[in-house]
Amino acid sequence: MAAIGLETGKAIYNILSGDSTLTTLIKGATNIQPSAIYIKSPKEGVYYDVLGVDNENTKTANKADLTIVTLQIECFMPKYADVITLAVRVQHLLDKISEGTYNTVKIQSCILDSQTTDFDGENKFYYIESTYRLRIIS
Amino acid sequence: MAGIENATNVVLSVTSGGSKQEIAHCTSASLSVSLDLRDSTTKSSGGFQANLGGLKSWELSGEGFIEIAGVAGKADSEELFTTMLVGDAVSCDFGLSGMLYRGDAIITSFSIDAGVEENATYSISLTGTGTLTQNP
Repeated sequence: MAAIGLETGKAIYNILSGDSTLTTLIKGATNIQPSAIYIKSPKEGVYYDVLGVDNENTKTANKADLTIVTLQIECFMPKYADVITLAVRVQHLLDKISEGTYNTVKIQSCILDSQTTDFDGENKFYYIESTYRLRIIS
Repeated sequence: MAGIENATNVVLSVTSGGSKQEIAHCTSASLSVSLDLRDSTTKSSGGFQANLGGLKSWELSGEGFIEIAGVAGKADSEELFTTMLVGDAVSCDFGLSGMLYRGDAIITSFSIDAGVEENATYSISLTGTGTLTQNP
C-alpha cells in the first residue's frame, strides 16, 4: 500500500458535501467542485485544488506510507459577509478534523495554514483562498 | 545497473530485540572512521610537525520516523532505547551488499524530536568497540 495524496479531493468532497449547513449556503453540493482556477466564470461555491504532494520516503523498499498534501480551498460568494460565513464553515469542518477514513482516504490530520481574501472584479464575487495541510497515510 | 550508488540503499542495521535488523523508517545513516595521530616531531623535522598513525575509532549514527505500534522486522525506536539501557555492545552493519562494514558498537545516545504537524523522529549514535571489518 502507499499513501496517495492525489486522492485527497475525494475526502474533501465527501466531508463538505455531507454538511447540510454548507450545502445550503452554496445552494447544493453541485457547487463543490475541483479546480476553480480553470473556471472562467465561477459561481458561488467551494472549489478545491491539490497544490502539492510531498511523499515522505524512507530507506525501506516499501512505497511511502505517508504523504503531505497542500490543499487550497476557494470560497466564492457575491456578498462579503456570506463569503466569510462560508469560509468559516469550511474551516469548522476541516481544521483539526478527527483522524479517520473519509471516502476511502485515510486522513491522519488536517490543519489550516493560511487564508487570504480578495474580490473578483470581472465576475463580481468575493473569494477567500484557504490553504490546508493534510497528512495522508496508507 | 552500474553507477553512482543511490544512498537510499545504504542502511544501518543494529542488533536489537534478539536479531540484527535495519533501523525502522530510516531516513539517514552515517559512518565515521577516525585515526588518531601520534606526534613524532623531532629536532630534525625541519620545523614541521611529523606524525605517526595511532588508534583507530569509528562511530555510526542514524535517524528515522517513529511509529508507535512498532515495525515488524525492523529495529524500531522502542527496541533501540531498550538496547541502549542495557549498555552492551551489539553487532552492527552499515552499507549494502558489496560495501558492507561490520563491527560491535554501543548505543551512546538516543533522542526523539517532535514538533507540530511534523513527523516525530528519533536519532541514535553508536560508538564502535573493537575492529570494524570491511566486507566480512
